[in-house]
Amino acid sequence: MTRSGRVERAIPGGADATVGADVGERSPNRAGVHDGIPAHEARASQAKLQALEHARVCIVIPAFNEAGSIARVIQRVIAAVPEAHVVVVNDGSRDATAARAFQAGAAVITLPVNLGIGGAVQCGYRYALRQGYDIAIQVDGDDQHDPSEIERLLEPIRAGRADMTIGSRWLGRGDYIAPVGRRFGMRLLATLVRWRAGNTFTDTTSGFRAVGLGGIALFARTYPTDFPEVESLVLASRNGLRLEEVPVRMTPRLHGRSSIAGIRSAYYMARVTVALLIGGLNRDGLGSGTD
Amino acid sequence: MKSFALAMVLSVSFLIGSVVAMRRQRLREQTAMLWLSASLFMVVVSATLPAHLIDRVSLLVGVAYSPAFLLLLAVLFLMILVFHLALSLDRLSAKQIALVQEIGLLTARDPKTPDEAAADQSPERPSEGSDPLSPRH
Repeated sequence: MTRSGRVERAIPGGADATVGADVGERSPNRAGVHDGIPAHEARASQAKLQALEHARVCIVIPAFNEAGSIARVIQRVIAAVPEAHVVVVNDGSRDATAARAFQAGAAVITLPVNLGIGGAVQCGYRYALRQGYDIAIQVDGDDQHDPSEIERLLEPIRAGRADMTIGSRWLGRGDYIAPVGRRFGMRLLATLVRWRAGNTFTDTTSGFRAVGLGGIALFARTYPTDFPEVESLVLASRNGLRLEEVPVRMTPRLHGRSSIAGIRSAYYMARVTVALLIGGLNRDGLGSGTD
Repeated sequence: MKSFALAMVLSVSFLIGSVVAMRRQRLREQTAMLWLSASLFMVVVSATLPAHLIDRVSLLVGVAYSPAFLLLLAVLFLMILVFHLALSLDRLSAKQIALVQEIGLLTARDPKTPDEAAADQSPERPSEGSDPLSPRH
């Protein structure tokens, strides 16, 4: 498997080509067929894409048992970004998440079993790739992210400055304050990510992010499974995506609990640390990921 | 002599078990080869291995009590086996994730398609309780 820009190669023809069903997506198998679009051609089409002001935007909302907040999230997202297509990835919820999301006007992908956040988000990226979206934005289903900040995430990608933007709580906007233990963990993760990815991030665990076509293609092919936010930063950096953090506001959760809390947070830290230290995060392969 | 007979019976029945599972296509070729060679090895060892050879080898590697050396070998073999199974389990779960995602994508509901709009307007629209989208319990 060669390095030579698998990200670029997966971009079939930019926005002016019909990026229809299945174009550019690899089978999950490593032994996928390599089609030979030269890297410079792909890059040129990417530049063309970025010049487009009206890129097609897909908003991916992973949701597991979020019936209490999902409708409100969708309504706020539609109000904030009316031109975007909203898709909820219902990750095997046991409550009425799917029905509420559908009624609120979102497209709904229902996974028959719970895959966890990584598998659900990746499914959203696969959807965006197949439906030919140019930009995919990830928003949590628990109403933590303020949809009016989506434009801030979009701007650097639309302007062609970045391939991926991450909404950060720690860049001045908003008054989100995390507990001490969590702050320490976040600092440790930031250090590890800086070491592996070469970039500095203030908010490595933020699930509020946007990616352009290159990122959609990359994540559709490879995405870490369990706690993917941190690892996907390294994955994206190592695959040559230009990442940019954007200051955003975040609010405390309305319903339910964070998937990372209490004793599990220690376990989470251990696993992410191990993944970052010895995981095969080079190029588009992750030890723990779906490939 | 009793222990020899016991070892022989165990390994031969293991061998028979592997062959039967293979003939019934319960074991795939690759796995079958592993088990077949493992049971053949057991048969050969229990039939031919002279005890003094084990003693000599265990002394060579610094184990004073030769049965402990045998146990070490057995544990090593099982460890390798479990590792091999863990690897195939991970491969399997990666494939399963891709399949679950594919099912999700194939059954995705988009409210903006004309079909859905028509369904919305039809009088016999299912209520929330019987909505086909509501998850299984």
